[in-house]
Amino acid sequence: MKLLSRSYTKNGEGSVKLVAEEGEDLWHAYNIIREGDLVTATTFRKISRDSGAGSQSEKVKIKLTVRVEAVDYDAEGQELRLRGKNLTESEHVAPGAYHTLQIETQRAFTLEKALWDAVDLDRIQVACNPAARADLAAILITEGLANMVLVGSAMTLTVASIATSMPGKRGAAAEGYSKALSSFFNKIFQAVTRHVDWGIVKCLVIAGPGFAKEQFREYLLAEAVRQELKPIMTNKDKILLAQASSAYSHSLKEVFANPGIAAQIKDTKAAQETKALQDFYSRLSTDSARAFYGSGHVMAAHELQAIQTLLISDRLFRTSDVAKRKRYVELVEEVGKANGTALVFSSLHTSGQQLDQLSGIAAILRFPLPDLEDQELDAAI
Amino acid sequence: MPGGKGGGGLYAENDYDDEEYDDFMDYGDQYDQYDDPAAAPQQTAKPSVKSLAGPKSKATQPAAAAAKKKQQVSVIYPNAPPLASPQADPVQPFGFDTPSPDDKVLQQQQRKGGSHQLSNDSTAARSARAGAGAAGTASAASPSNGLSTSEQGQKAARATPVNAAAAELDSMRLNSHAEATTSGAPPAATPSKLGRPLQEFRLEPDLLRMCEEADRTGQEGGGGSKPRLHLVILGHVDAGKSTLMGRLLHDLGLVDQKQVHRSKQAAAQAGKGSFAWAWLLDERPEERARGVTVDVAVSRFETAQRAVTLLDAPGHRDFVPNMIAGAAQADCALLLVDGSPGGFEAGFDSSAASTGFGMAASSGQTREHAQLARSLGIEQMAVVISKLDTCGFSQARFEEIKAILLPFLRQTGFRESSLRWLPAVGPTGQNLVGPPTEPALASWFQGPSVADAIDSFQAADRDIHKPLRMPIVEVFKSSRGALCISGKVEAGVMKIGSSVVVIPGYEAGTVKTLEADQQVVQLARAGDRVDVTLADVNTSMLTAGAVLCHPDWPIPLVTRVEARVLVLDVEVPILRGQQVILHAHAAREQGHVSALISLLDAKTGQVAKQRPRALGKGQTGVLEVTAARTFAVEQYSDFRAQGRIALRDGGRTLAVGIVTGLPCLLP
Repeated sequence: MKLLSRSYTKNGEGSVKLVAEEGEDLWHAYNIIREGDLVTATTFRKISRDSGAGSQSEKVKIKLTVRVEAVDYDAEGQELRLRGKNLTESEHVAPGAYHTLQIETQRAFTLEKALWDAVDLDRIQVACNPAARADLAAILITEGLANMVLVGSAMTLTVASIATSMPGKRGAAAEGYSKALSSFFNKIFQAVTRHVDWGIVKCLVIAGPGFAKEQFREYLLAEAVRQELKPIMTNKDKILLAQASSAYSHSLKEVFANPGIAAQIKDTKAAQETKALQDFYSRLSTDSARAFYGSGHVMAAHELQAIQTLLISDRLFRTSDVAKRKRYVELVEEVGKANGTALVFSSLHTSGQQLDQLSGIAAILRFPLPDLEDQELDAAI
Repeated sequence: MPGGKGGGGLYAENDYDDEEYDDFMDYGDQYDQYDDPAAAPQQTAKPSVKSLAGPKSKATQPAAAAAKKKQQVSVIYPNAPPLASPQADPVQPFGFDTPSPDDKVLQQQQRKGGSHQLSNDSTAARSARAGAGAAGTASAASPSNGLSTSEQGQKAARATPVNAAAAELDSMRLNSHAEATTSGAPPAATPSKLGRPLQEFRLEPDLLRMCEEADRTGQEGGGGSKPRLHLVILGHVDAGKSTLMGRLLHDLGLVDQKQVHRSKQAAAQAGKGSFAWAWLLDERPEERARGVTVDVAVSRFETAQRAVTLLDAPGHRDFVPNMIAGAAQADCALLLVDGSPGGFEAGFDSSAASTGFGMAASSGQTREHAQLARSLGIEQMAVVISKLDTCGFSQARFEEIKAILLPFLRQTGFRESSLRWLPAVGPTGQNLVGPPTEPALASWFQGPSVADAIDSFQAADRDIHKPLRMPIVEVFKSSRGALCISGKVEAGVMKIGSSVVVIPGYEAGTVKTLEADQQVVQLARAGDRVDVTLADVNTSMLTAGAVLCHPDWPIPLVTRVEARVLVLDVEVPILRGQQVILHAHAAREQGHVSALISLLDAKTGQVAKQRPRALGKGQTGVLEVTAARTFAVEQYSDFRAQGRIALRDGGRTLAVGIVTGLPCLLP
């Protein structure tokens, strides 16, 4: 994300002008823009003109400001659409008429908010920091199933999922197996050539149970030599192997836990989140009075200034309920002020999805609160 | 060990039979609930389905549908009286100053809204019939009998004018009837895919005749008249499973000398002479290169009393999913335990150093295999202690291992009477088929041999009086080039020409060929392992984990499963949101624990706590798992083989259990 200009005060109103540079920036924008915000962007609108002999329609390029009523994000298609009422005087669109702005990469937009809170400002800072990019490609593979994912700073995207039936072991038909295996590998190879941009990706991890990962690396390198694919040959050192217990995408957490891989991506959000969630789980099993989840329990622990690490999903901040969001923002700020750590998880990472299943909010405490454990607390927020 | 307590909850030795029976009683009722209302509309709705725009599209737009109805009625309304008047003279013209019977009914319908739509077509059909019945005594000219939303209803109204008052009464009655059916019906379910109630199933007469014939001659399905056994070989990696089985196959005369020689030479050339016997079963290049079985090898042999299908499962922890698919087909097991000094301990220790997220670093597979095998329905097991030649065939070692294993296996749910204990040595063939020849072993061990132990296993009953179920284990190209599926028929019967359906996909087809033991057969009954080719079927639907079913009683397809589970030795308790891989029969799917429903008392099985925060090691509880994609699974009370599940994550088994409910049956 590129920040072109800004004029805001914390906890006050103001505006920023931003350019989304890649797909992931749209995700950041999705997390900043909420109902009620004013967004100005260049857009296209179909205008139909009645010229007497039938109507003709024409696409016109106009700049519109809309008051956002609905935000719609599609991770797979990399699209962000903002629906709202037009506020601009224009010959084509009446004020008050509905228009849907599509935010695109490489096209600037201005966002005006009545209230900029700490989480929004953090998000803009993170989004504009190019050093925080992870950009890791991973292939999770086992015989007959492979998932290829791209891990960015804020999102994990499954770009290819390949499943084939492998014949079993039946005497002389072993040949059918090797044939099936190489056709399976070839499909993954195609996915690698299509989706891995070696200019961006720091490393390509091949992970999975058993020996398929090693076999595939051999296949990949041999095939690259055969087809003279320079990018793969020159980046041979970036291809790493790791252990994972399955080829399903949630085994990615095991890849992040692998020390060799963790060193490569240590400063990235994905790795930090995975680590924090892992700490939370192990604390929960060893000392359950120091690990809580659910907003009721977490808020109660916060009142006692007990939170060491707060784990909170960005899903909770995307609410249109202003009061609710304010309370979460305050929580994050206060935990930070009290020398705690507040981690805002991305719900497009597997770790964030797992946290979402745990109500989206969890905390590791400084000191045990055994009394809290037994209390039935309903969601306080 | 805390695991033991929980073991009592699911499969305790004593209450084991009762408990399974109880399950059946409890969940039988539940089944009815799911099924009856679904079946009812199917039967009654048929006559009128055509006349409606389609019940599904209507149900999705209740408001639009209601509006349409109003329109229809208002069209009929002015027409109806003149139509009827020529014949029926004592009619009083309706003044339109009070709400007409139609209006009343309409109001009621609208109040009920969308939920009413479903049963509407059935009532329309009924009302048409009611109208026809009243034709003989026709005396009044009020339009329609209330629910004339379908054309049939309209026709009935025109043809047979009914007394207004009677019509009102009638429609009210119908309406209340409609209400009754609505309340029980699941919303927006197309009944056809849910299948018919299991109780209605009767085996087709011709199949029954063929089964009786086969029982008499004892020829069909291969294996002659000997009872069939499906035997899985379990144990920690490098316990010697494949070696022992290779040698056993040789000693039983199933592998000729030439093959053995070839295998020995290949192994010697690769510098792995000790793998010669295992290579008879491990034929893939990477299995040979690494000396580890990856996939289940299937072979067949016969002992004196039994026709055995042998499933040689991999022992390496990375391949436990393959082992599960193998063990799910088995009736009994051989558990191989490495008797060499330190070998048993390496395979049995559960002191796994965690590297986070419950990742098993070095835990032995003996424990996990035994627990999985029990939970997958294996009750009979022979524990074979191998490699005793490394410690001079010491009886003390044998007894030591037995003393450690027996309590564990009992806690896991095995009955002591169903366990056999024997020593054997693979490479030298000690105690495999005949009694031991080694004096050091023969001095203290009198039997049984491995083959004797296999003979003593009871064959499972053939479950033929149930709808067909065959989980697809493997899909391959046969030598003739046709796509062939292979698996064990778990229930029911099929013959060449039977129509079947493949789920997921609801792909219908007919059985073209059936093969057992590379021989063409006419009939496959529950308990047979067969290769099937299908005609008229979209081959992309044929995948491992799909299930071949009877077309009228297909297996349910769900995303959510409610299961009663026993939590195994997990480091981190199971919380809501725990990511799991769900294993059932040959299928596996990624998912997560979406709810912890209750914690059960390990002893009594009663609910100890509703909605617990976590389920810890050794506890028994009810939880709900949501899979990422639809999944074919069944309630344990209906079909045991498809109702058993295992939950795994990070390379270890978190919990095993049985399916107690399917909360959202998909249409």
